[in-house]
Amino acid sequence: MDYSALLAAGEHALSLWPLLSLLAGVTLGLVVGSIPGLNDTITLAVLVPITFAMPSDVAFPLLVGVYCAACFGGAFPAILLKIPGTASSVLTAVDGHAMVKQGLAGRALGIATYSSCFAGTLSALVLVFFAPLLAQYALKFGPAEYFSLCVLGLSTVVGMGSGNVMKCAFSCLLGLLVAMVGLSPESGYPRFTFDNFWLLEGLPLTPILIGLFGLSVVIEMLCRDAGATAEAEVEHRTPIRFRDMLLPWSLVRRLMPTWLSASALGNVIGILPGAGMLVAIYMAYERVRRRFGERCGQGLPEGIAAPEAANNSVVASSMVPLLSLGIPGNSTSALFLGALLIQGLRPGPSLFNDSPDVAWLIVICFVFANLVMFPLGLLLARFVPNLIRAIPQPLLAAAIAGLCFTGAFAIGNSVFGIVVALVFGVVGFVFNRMQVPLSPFILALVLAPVVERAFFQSMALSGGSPLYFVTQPLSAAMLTFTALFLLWPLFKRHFFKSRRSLAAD
Amino acid sequence: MIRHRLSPLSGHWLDRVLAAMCLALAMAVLVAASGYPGSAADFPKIIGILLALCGIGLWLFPGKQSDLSGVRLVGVGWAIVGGIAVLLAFAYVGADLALCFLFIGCALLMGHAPGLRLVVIAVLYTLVLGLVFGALLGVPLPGVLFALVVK
Amino acid sequence: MTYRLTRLSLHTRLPLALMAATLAAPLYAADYPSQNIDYIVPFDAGGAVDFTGRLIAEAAPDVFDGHQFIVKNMPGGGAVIGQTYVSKAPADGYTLLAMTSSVINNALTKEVSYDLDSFTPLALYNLDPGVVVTAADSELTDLQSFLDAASNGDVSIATPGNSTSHHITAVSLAQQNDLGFRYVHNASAAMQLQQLMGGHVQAGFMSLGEAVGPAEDGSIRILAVMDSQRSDLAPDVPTWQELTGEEVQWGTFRGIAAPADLPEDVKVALEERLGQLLTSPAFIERMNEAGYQVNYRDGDAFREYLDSTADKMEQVLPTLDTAS
Repeated sequence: MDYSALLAAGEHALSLWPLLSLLAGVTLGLVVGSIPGLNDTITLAVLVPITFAMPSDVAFPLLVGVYCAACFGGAFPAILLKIPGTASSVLTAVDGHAMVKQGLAGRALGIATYSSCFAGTLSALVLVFFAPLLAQYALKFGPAEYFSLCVLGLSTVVGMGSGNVMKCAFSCLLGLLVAMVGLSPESGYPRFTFDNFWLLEGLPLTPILIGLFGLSVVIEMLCRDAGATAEAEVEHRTPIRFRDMLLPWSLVRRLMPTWLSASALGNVIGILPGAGMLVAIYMAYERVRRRFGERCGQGLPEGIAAPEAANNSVVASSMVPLLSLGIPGNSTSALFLGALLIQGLRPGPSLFNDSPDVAWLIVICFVFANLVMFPLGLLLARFVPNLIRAIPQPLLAAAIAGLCFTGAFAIGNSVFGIVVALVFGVVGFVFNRMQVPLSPFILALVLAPVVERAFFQSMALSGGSPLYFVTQPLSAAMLTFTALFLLWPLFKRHFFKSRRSLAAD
Repeated sequence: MIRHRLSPLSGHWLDRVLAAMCLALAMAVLVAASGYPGSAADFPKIIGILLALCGIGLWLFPGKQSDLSGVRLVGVGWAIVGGIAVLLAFAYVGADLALCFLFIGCALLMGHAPGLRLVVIAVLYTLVLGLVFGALLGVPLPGVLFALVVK
Repeated sequence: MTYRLTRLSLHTRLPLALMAATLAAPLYAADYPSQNIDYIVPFDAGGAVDFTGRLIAEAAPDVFDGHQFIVKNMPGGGAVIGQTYVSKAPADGYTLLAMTSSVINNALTKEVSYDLDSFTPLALYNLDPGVVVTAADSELTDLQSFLDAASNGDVSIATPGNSTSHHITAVSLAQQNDLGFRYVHNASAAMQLQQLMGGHVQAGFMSLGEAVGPAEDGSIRILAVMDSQRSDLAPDVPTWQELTGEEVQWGTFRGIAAPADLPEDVKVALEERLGQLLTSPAFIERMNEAGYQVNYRDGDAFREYLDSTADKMEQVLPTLDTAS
């Protein structure tokens, strides 16, 4: 490895213009990430053509900044309002908002900031040193492996619903069903579309998220009794100070194992396009849930740390296939591909040989963007919540409603997005009231097309033999894990029973 | 505790409705899927069967009970009717008017005092939204007012 | 974006307006263009059509008297949503469609409310011929070995999706040459590349533009290009015809169209200005930098091309239902 090029790139990134554009990018990313309905993809789509006119050392820090920070920005509304700004912060909302209700808003935002920045930096360093290695490993994932990974991801749902298994399963199944709407991946046959063109490509994810998590909150606010509203006012009035957000060393030490394991999951699973992001988050959260059981979801610090660390790890690692193989892993890195091409660079194995200065600059920017995110995140965490609290509840609800409608429209430039958001707003409200958890729904919705496509691809490759999933070693390993996951409650009961009976003796 | 979980009568009436709806949904899915050709039917059929099992499971083990405390059902109705009205305004009149109407409607329903102040805030908020989306993010919203502002 | 564009137009608006008023007055319709133009991309942000569309939008104010092209993504229904929107839009020249081969596919395979005659083709700016690729370490090192393997038994091939033009290509070739393929349908070219490089499938059908980069890196091999002549992007790759003597031309294209029944003066003005934009050295350079060739054809030539492509598709489509 060429360390002098790395050092030179680091020095370059710290000069005036690259640094300024990195700061601008991170700030912009935090803002768009925290607005439900806006995401990094749409922001980058608008930004990439502008970067044509910029020199590459201004263009890439800006783009990298937006990409890194948008994911973290989603945590702000997730924690403060229980409205995830992006799909990646769906789980952050659970424990995050529970902490806010306990008057620990500052602490919750602090944990999110620490976790995001720590894991983000770590995975950026992994990108610096191990990108080619990870890329080769990602190639090992064929249809059978994708299928097993999704099955493994879906099995985390079962664990999530302790004492509420059936409603959890219902939520998951409904997610799978909604994902069936549209053309089938194998034969292109329209399912559940009722001859309506709007449904042909399936229901769009972002308006569904806006409805389930955004509009449902507005409906909840609108139909709360007057007494309940007053109560809600009180819990929102604790002001946030800087020292609330700075975590004591003891807590940092306590969270360290969670950060490391979640980050490892994010790095290993997040590389895989499509399924990676959400599976990584859910698996990280599931690990925490197994350790803390019922306390999870009640405002547990690890419940914020795990998903936030996992999703920020995924950001840098999703660049691995692009930079080392030239394959864009998701729509956002496809835009990066465009930005690179327009600067006359072509991502792939030759990038680091042909133009090491730019290649290393991009990689180094991922490290710096995560470092810059820390003070900026804390600063925003100090002011945004207080700003939100300065707004009277009625105006806040009105503002959220406006944002939801506009965001749902903007994503596809059509009123159809609003229709979807409205329908799922009501669904979200009803589910909340019926104690049906929403997160299994989202996971199933995202994984269903991947699982179905991978299944039929495997069938095409194996000539229709289901044994194919077991004969591929990686796939077999993941299926074994799934089985252990599912059977664990039985083992555990047996294990505890024998121990208890021993103690009784 | 176990008795509480096992007894079919312990759940909220809404939980009964959910279980029944789940079963109905399962039937609908299975019927629809039977009309799909070849591989397209496989996954919907599996989901349909699982939904049917889930419906039975929901009837027997409702889990955490539904909770309707502190809900004004009138409010839900208003929210849905209002939402549809705004949707129609968005489509046929323009996003500017729709968003203003939505903002004022929400604030009033939440108990904000009506008055000129609210209208001014609503108009300002709408303009900011139009500017952010139209000028900064390149997603122009439909509407006469927005067209003027963004130009 | 707007910021930069307004800054640009400050420099160019006045001279351009003067030019339009004096020099070009007899050429262009008197009052067109008098406002911004919507450029409908019927796909999500980030794809090739969206990307090249934004390149066009960037260059547009120089040619359209300072008026902007506003790129609107209208994804959904396999591009049906955006295409329907434009086919029903007023034919005044202020709504344009990023026209791709999916207009033909959709009109033939889905029950849509439009066909080719619902649009006025204005300009074609990019042709991307189809290619057959294998992994670099595959034993199928040339087209002959690929054809041999496929006629002896099954060759697994990655397509970018059922009923996409690359899938149709493969079906048509299999039918003509009696080949056996196992179709592994993906959702994007990126997924195809991953399966090829990982050795999960034996071959793939994709666009030359998508295959050139990885081929230069040495991770995949292009066996043949399905065009009448070799491409400038990959001059070493032989055409299918060179190798087999059989004339095979398949590919995707990107162009611009307006709704049907465009007033003649507006149509002339649009074709003129788009031609000027798409052949300007600055635009061509930018497209080349981004890895796209510019193959400009005017409205009439574009219409001819569309009709011949539609004819070819219609011959293959009846076999598609049974093939997948």
